[in-house]
Amino acid sequence: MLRYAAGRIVLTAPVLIGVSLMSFAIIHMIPGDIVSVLAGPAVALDSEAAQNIRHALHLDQSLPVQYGIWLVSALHGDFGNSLVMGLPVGPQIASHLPVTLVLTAFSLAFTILIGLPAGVVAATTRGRWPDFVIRGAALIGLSTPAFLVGVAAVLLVSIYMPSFKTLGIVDLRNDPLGGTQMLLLPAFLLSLPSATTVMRYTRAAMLEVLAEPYMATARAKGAGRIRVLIRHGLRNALLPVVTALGVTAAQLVAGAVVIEQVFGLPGVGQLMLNAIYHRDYTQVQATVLVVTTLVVLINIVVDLSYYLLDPRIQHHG
Amino acid sequence: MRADISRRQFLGSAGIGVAALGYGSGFPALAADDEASAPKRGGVLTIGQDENPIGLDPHKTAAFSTDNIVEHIYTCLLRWDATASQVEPDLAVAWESPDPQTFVFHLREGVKFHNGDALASEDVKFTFQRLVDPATRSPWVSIFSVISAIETPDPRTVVFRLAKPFAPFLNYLATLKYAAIVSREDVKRRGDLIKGGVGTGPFMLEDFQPDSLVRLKRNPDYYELGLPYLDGLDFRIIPDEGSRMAALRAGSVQMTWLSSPDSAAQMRSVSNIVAPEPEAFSKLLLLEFDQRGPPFNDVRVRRAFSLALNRELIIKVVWRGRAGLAAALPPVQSPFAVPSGDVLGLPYTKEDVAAAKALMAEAGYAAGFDTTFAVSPSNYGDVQIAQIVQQLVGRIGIRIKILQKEWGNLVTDFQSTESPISMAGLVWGPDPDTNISIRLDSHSTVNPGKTADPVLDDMLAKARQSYDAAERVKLYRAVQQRVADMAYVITPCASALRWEMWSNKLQGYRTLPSTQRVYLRQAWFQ
Repeated sequence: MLRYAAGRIVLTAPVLIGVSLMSFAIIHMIPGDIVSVLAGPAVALDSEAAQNIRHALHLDQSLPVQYGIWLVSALHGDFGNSLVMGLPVGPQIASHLPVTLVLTAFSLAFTILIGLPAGVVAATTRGRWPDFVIRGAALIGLSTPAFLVGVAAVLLVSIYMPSFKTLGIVDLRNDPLGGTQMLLLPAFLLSLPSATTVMRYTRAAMLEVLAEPYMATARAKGAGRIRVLIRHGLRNALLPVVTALGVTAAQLVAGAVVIEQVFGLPGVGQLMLNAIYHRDYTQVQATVLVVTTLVVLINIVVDLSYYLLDPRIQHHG
Repeated sequence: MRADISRRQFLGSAGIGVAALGYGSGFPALAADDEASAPKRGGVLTIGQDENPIGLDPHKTAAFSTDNIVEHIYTCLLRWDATASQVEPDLAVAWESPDPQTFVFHLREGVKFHNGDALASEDVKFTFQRLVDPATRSPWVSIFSVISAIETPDPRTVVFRLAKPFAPFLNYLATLKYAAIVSREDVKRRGDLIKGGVGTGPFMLEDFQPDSLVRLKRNPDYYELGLPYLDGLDFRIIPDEGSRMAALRAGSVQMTWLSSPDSAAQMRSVSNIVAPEPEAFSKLLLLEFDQRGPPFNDVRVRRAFSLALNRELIIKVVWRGRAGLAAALPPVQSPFAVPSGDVLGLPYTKEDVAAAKALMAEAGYAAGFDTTFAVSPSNYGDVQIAQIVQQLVGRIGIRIKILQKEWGNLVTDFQSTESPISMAGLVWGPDPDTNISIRLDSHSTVNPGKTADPVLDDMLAKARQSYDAAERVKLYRAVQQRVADMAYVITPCASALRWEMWSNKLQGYRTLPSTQRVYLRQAWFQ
């Protein structure tokens, strides 16, 4: 299994290079010009001021040369300076990443804490009122957009629970506790759609497992109802649920972009969005690379967890 | 939501000033009812800021986001007075102009930068050298290239020599976006001011966490005695407009601004929030034609287009009346601008479909033609206006296909004259010359319609070089008359730039049409 994991990690290199090439191509394909961001439309795109900017940023070179320069320095661990801010992009990402990581981790925790039990309860009470309530709530959770729920939640919480701070300053380095508290509400809202997905997968898988003869056998052997549900039922139902979790985890990273925007959180999503709007090529490149790495890692963990859940699955890598 | 942000950069970059040169209706009386309570020291104001600043160097960008912060950190030689009609002393306490190409400034005694260094004439000289240095990549290179020499006979005196008479000069010197005075030593030490620097302004930088917070604290050595009253300004960066509204309602921020009139109207009903209706319309919408070839190189077609429009309808439907008629300068730029009430008196401006049809037939387009109209959904109202224009000119046979573009994309289209028709908003600059020359002078490198009119060029050059205010007013009125007559550009309406609002605990603050918040220096908490 170690060999398999090592192989998977080595294989991420071509994935990352491919992604970097694609993001480079896409961001350069978007029309618009960083010059108009920095100098504004009062300055012509071919004026002296514009040429000064382009020359200083090496944007007067051909695209393959620009990509080549970027790749070589990236391989040396230097991702360059932000074109707009002029600051190195590495520290920028490092300062924004913790917020996104904590946010996603909390969201994942909420997803599991809400989705799994809800799925099990819905499966065991199939066709009765708890099942209907859970599935109804899930439908609402899945179909309400985060930006709407987010703003409503901020407003309601700040009016009815003034002691629970929202929209405050998130500074995980100097105030980890306060910052973490500030991330709870956004993480919860971010988790709602994925909790719904996990609930539905859990319910479906549990329904299948509940019909298996070994469940009846376990009960007949005298095992308790809860024990049978968890040990024999849930454990066997988990495989598809973990697959769904892997996919939703990647979705959480994407959803973080929206939630960070609504709550004004200084995360990677904000960083990337601003970079795209400003045509800050180097910042986009580096940020996309980091996010991609994150998603690839999540997928590797999911793959490996199959083995842990069901040792019958063998990886030949 | 992000779109607003880009829009502001665009608007901002068109050049904002502390003031339009005196607008007739008088100042919104925002500071009027708080005379009862006396100013007092203390308190930190938290501002819901819509956009992360793209660096804090006042010389490197035209972006609003940077301006919103650095306007509190730096000051200029001059500034706009409280009536927003003329420049007054700031770092320079007096100035004289022995001849049209020489300006002598006498600096204030005892001014210190935030690091304790004294302000000297060398810093002023360095500031303007830095602005024209290609390595600085300032957007204003061409404006300040007019300076041919700067002399510093003593530490308190600066002499500017201009290559030619340049009437807007003082107005630029009074506008922070263009001419913030920086410290020579500080820039030498830091290399650039992107992460912040020391200025002479009422507040100084304490902390900058990108995408989260910019914290400014009171400058105890600020040269206006007793000011500022506030201990600091916290700019909390919240890009989403809805979230900023919620934050203001909840009190987690005490000041913000919104870009949609509907959201602003909603906030007006909240009891402890002051949300004045902007009285001055500083954002001018420009509809440009590609005049390089048919059909819009024919003045008759452009005139017909203009005649087919019902500008009042646009204001009523799109802005629900919260906008004004405008000629080629935004109405706020009084007395240079044609007042809103007189706009329909300009040639080819009042709706006349029959005359428009006749002109189309005369130009050989009796059957009409197809064309494309590029516009961005990023700005409130723009697409709606394009749709109304589409219907109105459809009546005279001009069949418009609306092309919606992402903002950055539209700016390129607008500047490079890609589509036959494109539309974008601009705010007024420090001087009437700022925007109008850029857009309509044939020598300008940004001339979206590619207008090439020697008569107009001549008028603009004269206005740029005349120091006689009354003559300048006459010249700019004539320019607007000619632009309307030749229908070089259509200005469907002018509106507010954004809607400022704040907690009623904040006293002594007043808005400016440029939405510069410099009056926070004299605001206090009740």
